[in-house]
Amino acid sequence: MHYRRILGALTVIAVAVAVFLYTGHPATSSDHQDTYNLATRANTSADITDVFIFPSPSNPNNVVLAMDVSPLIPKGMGTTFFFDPTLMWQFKIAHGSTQPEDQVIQFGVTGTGASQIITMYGPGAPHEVGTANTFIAPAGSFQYNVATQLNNGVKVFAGPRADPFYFDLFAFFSFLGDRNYSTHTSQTDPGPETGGPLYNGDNVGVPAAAAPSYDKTANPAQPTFNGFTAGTTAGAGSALGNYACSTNPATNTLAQVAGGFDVLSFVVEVPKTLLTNGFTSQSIHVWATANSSTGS
Amino acid sequence: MTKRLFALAACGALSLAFSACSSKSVVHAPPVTGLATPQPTNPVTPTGAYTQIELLSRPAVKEVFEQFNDHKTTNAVEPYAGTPADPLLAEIKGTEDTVRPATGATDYGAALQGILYPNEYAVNLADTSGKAAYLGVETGGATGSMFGGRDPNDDVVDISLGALFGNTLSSLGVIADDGEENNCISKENVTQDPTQMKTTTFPYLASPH
Repeated sequence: MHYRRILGALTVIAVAVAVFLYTGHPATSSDHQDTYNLATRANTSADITDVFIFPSPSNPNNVVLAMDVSPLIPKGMGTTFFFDPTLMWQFKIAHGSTQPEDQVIQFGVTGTGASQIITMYGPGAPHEVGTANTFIAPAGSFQYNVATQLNNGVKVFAGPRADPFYFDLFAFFSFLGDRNYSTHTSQTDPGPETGGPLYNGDNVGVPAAAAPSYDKTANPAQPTFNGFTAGTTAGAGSALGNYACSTNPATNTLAQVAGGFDVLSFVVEVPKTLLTNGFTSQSIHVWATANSSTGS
Repeated sequence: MTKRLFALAACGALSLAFSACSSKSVVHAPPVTGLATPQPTNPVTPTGAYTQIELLSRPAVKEVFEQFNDHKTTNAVEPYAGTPADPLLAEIKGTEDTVRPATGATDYGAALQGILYPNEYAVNLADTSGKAAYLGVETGGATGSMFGGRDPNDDVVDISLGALFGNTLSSLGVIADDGEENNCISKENVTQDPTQMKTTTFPYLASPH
C-alpha cells in the first residue's frame, strides 16, 4: 500500500484550508519527516518522530520505553497503517557512559496488514556496535495493535496511538522553512537554507506558490512563534533586532488541525532489573534507530 | 564539564520557571481487562545485517540546529560519532551563533555543544521519584526530577527553546547572561491537548484520534 500517497492526499484534502492559511504546503512536522527520503518512502515507519523513557505509571519497579514512527496519520486511519517488514527498530543503551551501546532492545515485523506479527529481541548485548546490526535472541512475539505480556513479564505494544507531541509547526516553518521537506525537490536539493541558518534563502528549488512565505526578502530574519501579548518584543539585546513578536494565535498542530494526527508506536515496559543486572551503573544513555535490510 | 556545571548549578529557585514546562496531569483512561498472551512461537529470525537509516534521541536538537539536508548524514551515524562524521556538533554552535553570537567569554554555542552532544537521553534508573523529566539529569532535577528521560507530557519544546534562546542557562548559572535572549523564540505558547496526554494503563500513550 502506498502510505505516503494516501497520507499526502488525505492530509491535503482534510487540512487544506487550515494549512494554506499558514504555509501553502501539506502539513509536515519537526523530526516528523526529517529527510526527503524518509518522508517519501512508500512505508513511513522508518521515520522516528519521538522517543520517550519514563517510570511505569503502574509499577515503580518498571521503566517504559516508547518510540513513535509514521508521522501524520490522519484521524480515524490509524489502523490502516502498518510497519515495514524490511526494517529493524532499536533502543540502544549505554551504561555509565555515552558510548558505546552495550545493550539493545530490537523489534522486527513479519507479515502484512492487521495480521502483522511483531517480535521483540532482547534486552541483550548487541552483536555489533555501530550502524550495521543483526538481530539478537528473541524475547517473544505478539500481534499488531494488541497489548501483550511476554513470558518474561515484559509488556509490549506496537500499533497506532495519538501523537503526543505538541508544537506550533506553522510558526516554526515561518522562519525555518528549510525544515519542511516539501521545500526540497530531492534529498540533495539544498532548498531554502542556502542563505544560512535561520535565513530562508531565495527560494531556489522552492515551488513558486511557496515563495512568499519563505522568501527572506519578503520576510527578513525576524523569527517568532505565535501567541504573544501585544507589545512583546524580541528584546533590546537580540542580535536579530528588537522586533515585535507575533500576536497571531498559536496552534497545537498535531491536535488542533483536522481533528488531530496519529503515529505508530512501539511501547515496551520492562523491569528495571533487566536494564541494570550485570552492569555497574544505573545511569544510562538512550537513543533510537531504524535500520533497513535494503540499505534505504 | 559543562554538563556537570549545569547539574551543579540547578537550584530550587528555578522551579517556578519550569512549572510551565513540567509534566501535565495524567488522563485516567478506562481500565483494561488484561493483556494478551504472546504468540506460541517466534518467526524465524532474519540473519542479515540491517543498515541504520534513522536516528533520534532528544527532541528539537536536530530539528533546530541541523540544515535539512544534513539529517540524512546524521541519521546514519552513531550519536557520539563527533566531527567530521556527524555535522550536528558543529551546527549546534553555528546556528546558535546566528541568534546569539559569542560575547567575550560568554559563548552559548559552545555551552550547548557540551550539554546537547552526544545527542542521547540521560536517564538515572536509581531515581525513585516516579517521574520522568526531560533534561532532568543535565539540570540536576530543575526540570522536574532526576530521572531524566522524557515523559509523553513533557513540554520539551519550551524547555529546549528556553535553553537555546532564552535565559535558562544563565538562570542556572551555567553561563553568564549575555543579554541576547530573544523573547519571540524562547517559548511557543502551546499547551498539550487532553487527547494527547499519557494514560495510567499500558501502553500509556493515548488512543488514536
